[in-house]
Amino acid sequence: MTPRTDPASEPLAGTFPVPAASATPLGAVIRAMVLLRLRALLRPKLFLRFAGFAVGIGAVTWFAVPPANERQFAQWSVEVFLLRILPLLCLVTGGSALRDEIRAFTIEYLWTRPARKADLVIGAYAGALALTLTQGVVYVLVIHATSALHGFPGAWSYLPGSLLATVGGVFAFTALAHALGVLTGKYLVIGVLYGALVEIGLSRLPTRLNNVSVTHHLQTLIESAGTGGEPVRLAGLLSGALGCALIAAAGLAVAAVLFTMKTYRIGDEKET
Amino acid sequence: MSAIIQASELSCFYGVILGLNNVSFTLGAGITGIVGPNGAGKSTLIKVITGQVRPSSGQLTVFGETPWNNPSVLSRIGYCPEHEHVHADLRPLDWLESLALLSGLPRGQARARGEEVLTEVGLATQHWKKRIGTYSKGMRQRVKLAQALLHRPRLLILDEPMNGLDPMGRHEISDILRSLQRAGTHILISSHILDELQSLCGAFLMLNWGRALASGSQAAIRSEIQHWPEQVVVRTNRPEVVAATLGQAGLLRGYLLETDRVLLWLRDPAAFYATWTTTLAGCDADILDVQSKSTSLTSVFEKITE
Repeated sequence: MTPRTDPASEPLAGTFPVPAASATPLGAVIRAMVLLRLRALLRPKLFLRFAGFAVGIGAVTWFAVPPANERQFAQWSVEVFLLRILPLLCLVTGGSALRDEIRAFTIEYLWTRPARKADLVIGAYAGALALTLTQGVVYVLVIHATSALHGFPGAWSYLPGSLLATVGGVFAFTALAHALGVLTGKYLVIGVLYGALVEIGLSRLPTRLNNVSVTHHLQTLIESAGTGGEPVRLAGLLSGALGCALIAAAGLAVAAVLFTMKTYRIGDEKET
Repeated sequence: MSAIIQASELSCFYGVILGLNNVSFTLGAGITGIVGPNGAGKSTLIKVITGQVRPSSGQLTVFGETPWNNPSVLSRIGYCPEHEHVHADLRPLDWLESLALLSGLPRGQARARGEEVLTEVGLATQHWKKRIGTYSKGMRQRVKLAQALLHRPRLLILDEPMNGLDPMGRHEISDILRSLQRAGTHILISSHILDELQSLCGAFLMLNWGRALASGSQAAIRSEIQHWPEQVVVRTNRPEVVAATLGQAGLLRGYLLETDRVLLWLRDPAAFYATWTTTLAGCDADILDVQSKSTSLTSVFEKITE
């Protein structure tokens, strides 16, 4: 046994004065959670899946989008990838950020640490964000590079808007998925229902109600980013970015409150 | 006794399922065992102590504070859960580094502290580069114990730590716990292996069906129940004769015959011990051995739950 010199571990007698123990700082929690997530996932199997998906995205771009067809390129890169595939990626990765720990019983090792539960939520979000952001950016680059190679050099003019929308979408969708994952083990089903109702339904309504959908803000970002020689609209960029940021913050806040208040019965998915 | 953990009318329900029912007790320094069969409420109590579950009613304090959502309490607690689940894809030092950061250790010390505790729990260095998923049960128990020790907790809580360990492994874990106690760490340990707790623990909390049946040192618990019938095992060549003789003398509540011995339930232990030699002297049986079962922790628990 290594001799211990920590005063806090000296034999105790009589009373227990409360030491100046405080919660672990948020920065340390984020660092720990990101390290934990990345080290657990960054294995050859994940890289193979990641690479396979990138090749699949490239193949669809090459074979399904006719060269130099701007309308079809926009449909594929924006309507299908950014507004359908990317949210699903975020749903899977963001929703599982803490839910996987709950299912695997390993959450007990985390929430018995002196970290605030809200900070654990933010740390888990940061870990999921690192993964979804990396994937999203790589896939967007694959789509644009493939299209450019396939005879549509104008694809590059879409890149700034696509990247902005990717970043905004990943931040917002991952936070919403994270909240659903904290709320319920059936986050995939609820997430798809949410997508159908809010992201597909509400976003199309020509009223202010569409501000609650991420899709609306992503479209604003893309339209304001100077795609196809259009002038860049700063107000639109700020509005889209702010919308995504507010939705991400709301999602995180909901996740933090839920995780702090709920009691999870480890392993059997029963919660109160 | 300086109280480390105090519970007052503590109840905990999962919906309609009873976890703990109006439990009150005080646990002090040293190594304390939580004893009880499956469903007794041991794990629920440990979850309340470690801040994982909020009590339905009543109060529980650790170091004078409630543990639910309280980092100040959790910074002084190390917890080793019952289940075997760990981050199987990680190497032990990678896992311990993250948990050390979560426990508030500085970035530069987290990994070094991980190495220190792995050495403390006796995990050989040649295993450090393997993923935890490839470990044997005993090695996983050591890593689980190591993660609980990372931040030098003042109170170490272990839920069934001996499960699945071979005798050598149990002995080694017991030695580690004794060393920790000598260094000033208070330990709360739950186990079904009552005999091992008996040699390890200075005090006990006995639970059954969500209720606290008794708490204190084994001697104190025994003194509380001294009016209850004792059990004695007599090894003899004629068990039926011994049972009949003692029964006719009015010393027995009951007996159980086996091939070479008889288990006796005594009506009045004091009267039995005063007269058994003279009573059995006249019977036609060789008495090879007389042993009281009641000295063991198992026997104490059996009596309390009768």
